[in-house]
Amino acid sequence: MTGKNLGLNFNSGDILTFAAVPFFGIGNNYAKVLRKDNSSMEIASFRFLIGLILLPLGLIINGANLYSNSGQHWAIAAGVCFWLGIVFFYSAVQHGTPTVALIFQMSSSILIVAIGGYLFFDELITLYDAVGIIAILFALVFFTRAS
Amino acid sequence: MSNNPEANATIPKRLLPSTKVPMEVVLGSLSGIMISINVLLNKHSFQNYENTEAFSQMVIVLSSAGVMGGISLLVTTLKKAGPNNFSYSHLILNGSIMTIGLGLVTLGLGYTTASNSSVVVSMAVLMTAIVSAIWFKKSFRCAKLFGFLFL
Repeated sequence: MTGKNLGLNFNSGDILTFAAVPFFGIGNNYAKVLRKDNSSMEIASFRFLIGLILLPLGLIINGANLYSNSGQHWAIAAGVCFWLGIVFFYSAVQHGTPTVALIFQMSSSILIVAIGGYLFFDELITLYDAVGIIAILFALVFFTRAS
Repeated sequence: MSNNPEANATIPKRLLPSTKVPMEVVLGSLSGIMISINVLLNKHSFQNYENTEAFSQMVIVLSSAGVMGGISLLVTTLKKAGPNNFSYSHLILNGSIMTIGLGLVTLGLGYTTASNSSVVVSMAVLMTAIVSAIWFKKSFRCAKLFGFLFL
């Protein structure tokens, strides 16, 4: 049964994003084990540092040219924003509970991306999408409250 | 609580509801805003530059975050008074796992919509709960199952 049979349109981007989810599940719990010896910020910094070392190696193996990318400045800005997002999250955790921080982080990012996608990229928010977003926001509250 | 300010003045401060927004709410929301800006900027550069090569795009995004991470790690290490007891092998393995995850999400953005990507990534919360239940042998509570049904 394909996604289309269920009325869903999966593309390679969705499949790649789905494939990433187990890595986050394992990585986050692994970080929990590492928290005994290292602070959250040290673990997060190390994650990005490893990426900085591994990815250019992948680029060399892949044979891709970094300089052919003309949207570099936006990509660099995106990376910096991502890093700031992580810093804010860990600061939030230091001030309060991870539960509340996670609920606000996830819900605000889902809503802003949905609105931004509609405004800047003409991504239509269908009724199906809206129901999905609301359901996920509810699920986030239940999950984080229960954990 | 009365609407009369004089009457409120007699109530001890600790009994009055706090109007201050908790810091974790402010910082958590700021974190969400920064992450959504990252997604939108990433999507913008994927969409607006025809010669953008997906893999090199992903490398630039994560490498710029990596440079920031490196600087932060250096500052944290220099500030630390005691010796560092980094378990390098575990940190490298954890870093590699997360790099693969982040790499896949960033690559995926090139081929899917920004809202789809952020909604799918939020499933990581569910996956973290499931892995946590298996790894640490925690019970999977009813509320989690209820959340699972929603997802």
